[in-house]
Amino acid sequence: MDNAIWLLIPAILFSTTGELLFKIGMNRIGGFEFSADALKTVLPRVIRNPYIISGFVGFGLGAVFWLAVLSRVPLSIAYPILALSYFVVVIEAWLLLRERVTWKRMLGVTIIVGGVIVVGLSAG
Amino acid sequence: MMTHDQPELKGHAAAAHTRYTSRAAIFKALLLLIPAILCSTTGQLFLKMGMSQVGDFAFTPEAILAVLPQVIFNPVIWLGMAGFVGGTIFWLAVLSRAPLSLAYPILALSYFVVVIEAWLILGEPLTWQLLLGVAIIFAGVVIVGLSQEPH
Repeated sequence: MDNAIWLLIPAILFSTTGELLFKIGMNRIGGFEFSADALKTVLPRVIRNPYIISGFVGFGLGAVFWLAVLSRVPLSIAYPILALSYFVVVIEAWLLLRERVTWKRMLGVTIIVGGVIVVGLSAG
Repeated sequence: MMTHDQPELKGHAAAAHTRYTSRAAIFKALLLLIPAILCSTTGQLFLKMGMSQVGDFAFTPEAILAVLPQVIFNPVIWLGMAGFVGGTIFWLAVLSRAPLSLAYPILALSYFVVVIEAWLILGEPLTWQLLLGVAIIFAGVVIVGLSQEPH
């Protein structure tokens, strides 16, 4: 296990950046009704959007690293550590998308990081 | 189309929930979180089993390319992916019927479920420190969920 746990960092960075790219892409496409007709018109735009496509690439790369982690680290350790994504997404959205982050949300994600550290330490 | 009953309006608290339906309908929607959590956590369990069969591999391009067919054609990995897709479908169904700020913290119970399943089924060690860490993560997610701005 030992250093395999560090493979979670690229796993988290790729999947959260993928999430960010999805958000940028969907912001450009705009909100849509969740009806069959609306989906029919919006779906072709979604799958051709370069941001959305890059987001899927990020997701795919994140999945490769996640599977590499799973091949070496116990699931009960690796899965909770994945919760660091909450923190990373909020920071990325704040820095890159300039989303407003309330103090309550910052508190929440900081507590999550604390929990992840406890989980990491429990792995010895 | 949603065909739920209209909620009774009783002041601001009720008005904040007009997008959704009665308490009973929201509760029914939240019950869908049970299959959502079970599908996605069991999916992770299968991914772990599949990757244990494949075994660990050096993190070089050649080694990854060599191991890729084993991963793609492993039926247990497919079960894991199916669990992930199933969980996502149930989650989307919940989201269309219940407020995110309520559903999201409940989904975070997944952390407990994964740890318990890995202990019972995979025989991974379960320590008090691990449970404490997961409980802290859960508390953090609850706070994040409560920080959702009302729409």
